[in-house]
Amino acid sequence: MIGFIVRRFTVSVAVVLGIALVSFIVIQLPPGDYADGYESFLIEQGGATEAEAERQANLFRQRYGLDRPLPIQFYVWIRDMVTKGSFGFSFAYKRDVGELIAERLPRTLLLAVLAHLTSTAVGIIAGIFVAPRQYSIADNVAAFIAFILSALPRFWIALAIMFFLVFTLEQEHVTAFHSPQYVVVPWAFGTVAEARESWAKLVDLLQHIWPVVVIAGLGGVARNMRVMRGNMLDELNAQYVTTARSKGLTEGQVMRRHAVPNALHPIIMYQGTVLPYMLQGELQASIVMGLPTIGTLLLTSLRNEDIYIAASCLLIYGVLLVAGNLIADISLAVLDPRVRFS
Amino acid sequence: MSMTMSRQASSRAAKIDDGGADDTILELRDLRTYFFLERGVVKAVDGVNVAVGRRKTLGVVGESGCGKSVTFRSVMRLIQSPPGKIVDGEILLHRKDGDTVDIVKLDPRSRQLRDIRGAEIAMIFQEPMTSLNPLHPVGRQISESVLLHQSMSRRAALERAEEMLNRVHIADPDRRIGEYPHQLSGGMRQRVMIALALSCNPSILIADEPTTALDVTVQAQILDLMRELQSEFDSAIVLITHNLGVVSQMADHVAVMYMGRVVEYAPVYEIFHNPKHPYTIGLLNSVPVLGRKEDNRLVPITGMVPSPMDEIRGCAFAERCPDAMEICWEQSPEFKEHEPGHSAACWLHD
Repeated sequence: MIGFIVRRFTVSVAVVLGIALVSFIVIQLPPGDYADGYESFLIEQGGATEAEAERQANLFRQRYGLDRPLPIQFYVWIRDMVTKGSFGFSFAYKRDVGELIAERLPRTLLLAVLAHLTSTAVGIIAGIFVAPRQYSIADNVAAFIAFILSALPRFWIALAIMFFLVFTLEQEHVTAFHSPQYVVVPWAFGTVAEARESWAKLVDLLQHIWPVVVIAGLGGVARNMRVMRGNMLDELNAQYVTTARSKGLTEGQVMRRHAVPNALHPIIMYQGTVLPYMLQGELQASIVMGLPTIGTLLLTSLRNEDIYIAASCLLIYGVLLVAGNLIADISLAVLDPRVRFS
Repeated sequence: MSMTMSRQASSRAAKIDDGGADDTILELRDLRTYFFLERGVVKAVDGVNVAVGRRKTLGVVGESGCGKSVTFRSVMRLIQSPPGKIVDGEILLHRKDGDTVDIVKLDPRSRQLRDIRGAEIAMIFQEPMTSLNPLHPVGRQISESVLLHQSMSRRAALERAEEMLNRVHIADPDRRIGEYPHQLSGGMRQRVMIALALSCNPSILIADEPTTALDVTVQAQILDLMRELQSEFDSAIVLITHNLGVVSQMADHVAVMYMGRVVEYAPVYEIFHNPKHPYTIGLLNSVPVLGRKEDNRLVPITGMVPSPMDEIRGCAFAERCPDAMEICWEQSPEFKEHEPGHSAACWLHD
């Protein structure tokens, strides 16, 4: 088991390095760089002459190392990341990229993980519920809803929910994590008053983020439900389930101990690939809802070629994907002896 | 009136073992299990009458699809519903506590039925590769059943599992209880299934084609094991098979099934030496016998099994029967005793 984990982990590190390289190359692909944008900004807004603007742009390139060959730039980026834990410098925000990401990553992960957990739990439970009732009304209704949910574009659902919140429920602040009065309230539970305030802040937070969680999770619910239903139907027809019934187990015990663990197998296997899928869902929803998460950060940095932010965001997505796969592999090995021993 | 009386009397005589009702552990009376599908009703079991004697082995033979598996899955109430349903008949089990219960009348989810499954009637299946859960060690799968039916600690149940593995001649049982099904060979898994089935001392073991998926040498070992354990555990065995050779070695009585009905029932010697139903005769002629002369070729039964959805008038075997008479096309023959302990459903013997 330990050997299995070590092996998988080593491979993962190599994969992450590869992802870093690819992210960096991808970011360099569009023509021009941040300094070009800076140059045209100086000419149009600052009234500088073309020559002066170009001189400024070149100075900028020198200062941030953009004039050096790409392999060197990549090397420096990785070296600083490993030795100083620095992800580079944002030209637009004039701040360390690591700080920017550190600020947004927890919120992003909170949203993505919440969405993921909700969609997995709801999807699996719904799948387990409908499988023994194949072709019943409940099954057909669930299938109908699932298809609609997975077919609707997320940005459209986001807009629809926003419209509903603002014009029907008349909620005042939709594009933030908190209402203004709670932004400065600290998370503290020392005294009763503090705890009450923090509790109110938590409720306020949930009121603001549920649309993103729901939107990012919807497609997942539908998918998990269909997969789980299919797996359960396969497993319920398996011979070992008949064996379990013939022992005298109750139908609930047959499901819990025998059918469900076997049916979970494929779901766990794709947990690794579902994490970036969730992040992507969170990305779309957050951009439309205007929540300051990594998704919106990546979008703006791509627009103005703020390369270190964009490359770092891509890298983080990549790391999360690899980590997700690693966790999925390990969970599968815990569940299934055939994976563990081979 | 007298006509119906005699009919009842004769069909009853056919059902009950010649040893008398006291030695019968399981009786099926006019059992009918139908499957209600979109394209029609499949009468998989259509009036089966058969009895299983205490500590005896009943061989059930017939072609694929004749209803032999469905009959005994009905006994365990393992028929998926919908589409399957027991529409008529009785399944009388003489329980360990002396009571007689009609399994047909039990709710499939009831406590009473669950107490019967595993503890009084246990079952093993054709595919040893898939009949164990791949995610649990085999010891736990046996102890699960033990814990269900007997009050003992987990540790004691695992010890019981280990003892059972020993009884089915699996070497190193203390190591094997911790192993998973994929680590065992097909023959070993079938041994584990037998250990699981017998772990709660059931009075009936239903073995549905237990050796069909195994190598010939392993088949013989498994059959030997079943015979050995039958006397140790005092269980009756219902051996469902299409292999007449297996039946001749194992069974005390044989029920031959065709199109959802028992067409002949007799002691094993009678079936092989004095078969009455043309279908039984056809089956015996189509089996190769070692040492038979070359000119004595195998004779196949002509024609095809009719579709189970067809509405059949008269005897279901008539169109394939070499001896079919006019009446065979008109009226279905009754299943009744023609010689003591030997029943058949055929007009030839009326």
